[in-house]
Amino acid sequence: MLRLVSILENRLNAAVSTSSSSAGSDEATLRSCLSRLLVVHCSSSSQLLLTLHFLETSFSSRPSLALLLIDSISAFYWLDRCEGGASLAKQEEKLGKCSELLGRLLRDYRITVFATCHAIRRSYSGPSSSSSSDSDRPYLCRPWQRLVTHRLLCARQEAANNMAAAAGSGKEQRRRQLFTVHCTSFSSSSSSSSSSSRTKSYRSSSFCVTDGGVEFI
Amino acid sequence: MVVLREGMCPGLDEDLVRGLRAADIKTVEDLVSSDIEELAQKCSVSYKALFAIRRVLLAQHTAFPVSGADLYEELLSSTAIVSTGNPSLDKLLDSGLYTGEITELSGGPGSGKSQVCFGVAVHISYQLKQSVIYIDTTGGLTASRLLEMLQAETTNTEEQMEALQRIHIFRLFDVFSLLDCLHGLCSGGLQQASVGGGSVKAVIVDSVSAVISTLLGGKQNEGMSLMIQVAGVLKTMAKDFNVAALVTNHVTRGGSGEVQPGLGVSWSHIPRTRVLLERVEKAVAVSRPGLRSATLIKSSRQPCHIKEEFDLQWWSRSKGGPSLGKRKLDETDS
Repeated sequence: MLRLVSILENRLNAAVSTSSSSAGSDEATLRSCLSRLLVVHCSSSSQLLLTLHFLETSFSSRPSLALLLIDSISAFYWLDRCEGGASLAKQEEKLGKCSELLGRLLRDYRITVFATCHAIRRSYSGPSSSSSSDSDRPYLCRPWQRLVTHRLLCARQEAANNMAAAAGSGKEQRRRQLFTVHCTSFSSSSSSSSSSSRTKSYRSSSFCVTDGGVEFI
Repeated sequence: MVVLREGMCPGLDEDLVRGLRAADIKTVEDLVSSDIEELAQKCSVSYKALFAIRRVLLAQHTAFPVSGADLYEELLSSTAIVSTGNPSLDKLLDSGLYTGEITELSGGPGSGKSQVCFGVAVHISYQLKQSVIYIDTTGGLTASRLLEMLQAETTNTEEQMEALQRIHIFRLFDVFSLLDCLHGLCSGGLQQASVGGGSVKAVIVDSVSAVISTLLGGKQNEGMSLMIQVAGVLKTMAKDFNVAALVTNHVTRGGSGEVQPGLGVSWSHIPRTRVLLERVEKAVAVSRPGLRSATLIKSSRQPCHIKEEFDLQWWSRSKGGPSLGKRKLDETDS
């Protein structure tokens, strides 16, 4: 939260310096920005499900709500796996319900859902052997996978590449950490089609993290 | 998962619970996710009554949304940055351990993880006059070492004892007792520990990997689940009670031989800040055996891979040579 505010402050300052407007209302602007943000802490997948149901009333009463961020959708993955016992259906029950509900919210309220998902397993093979490692394979339940229209895969760039990139761009970069993001878009005609029939398109870009947040290069 | 019981909310009586159960609605989640209209017909209750029940249950069991502005306000008043007592480490951590967050120290044997924990505990209890919970899972904590560090700070025995009293130590050696202990702390234990003096500012778990790493591996995922449970309760505690959580972790070598913290990828998402401690292998290290390097490997505030060198003896700096041999011994059981 503090980091979020510092990013916000940074952006606001940048905006103020370019537009040369009155800087007196800085704090007020910050507050008004923050008041448009609602934060919910969930501690289990059933609470997440109930909260999503609860949020539905928020969405219907406040049409200005446009974006739902979930960080992260995979947080309760292991808990659910264990709670569900041996049956896969039971393990995935709650997230499946969440996904269905999210699908309905997406359709009914025209919101955007942006969720993060942890990478769970490192590839056991060496970096040279295979191109697609274990870590970038989706592992959450199918209802969720069907919901996803864009998948972004973030990675920290290796130090060696980092140097080369810094040298190539010519800018003076004091060892800034570079991140790459790989976007896979699924442009499906209907949500019911299976993932194999969906067409995929790829795009890549890189970004670095600065005081003002994420900056794409 | 919350099972529906009679009396949970007004209107939910025994008959209705039985009726719902017959309609395969056993939990609050089931009720909330179901089609109320259809259900009302099935259980022959009024739609209005069932809808009201749903609304009350929802309000009871959801996490309540907080406005960002309010949250910021609250954080500004409640967040404290707890100094570790060591300037180099503080610099690395952007001035110290933040309450409400989990900070992790990782490093091999003898890299000084436990020593840093001791130092932090002593600093908080003596300099900041606040309480510390120290959960020792390796048997590496020795009270004599804490006392030694305190003796370096003050010669006043009374103050030393007071400071020691503010360090609450739990010794446990398996993950279930750790979970028990953490849950206990959340439900009253923390307030109880604060009674004697300052409020609890830090919960130190040294080491978290000792109890968890034995559960991982193989085809079972109970270990993973327990690990995430530990993480969950640590996070909740840090956030709700505004304490800084400091945990230690062992290190492993990755596929290409690089040193990385243990407990795998899933755990790597848990601590907000991670620091890798290493022994400094240099000529100067011979004369200063306490010299360690700390590398920031995960942080939301500072750029990663900043490296700082610090001396473990900082915490007992005013003390002369005799403690040296003792210190080395203590270190080996980190």
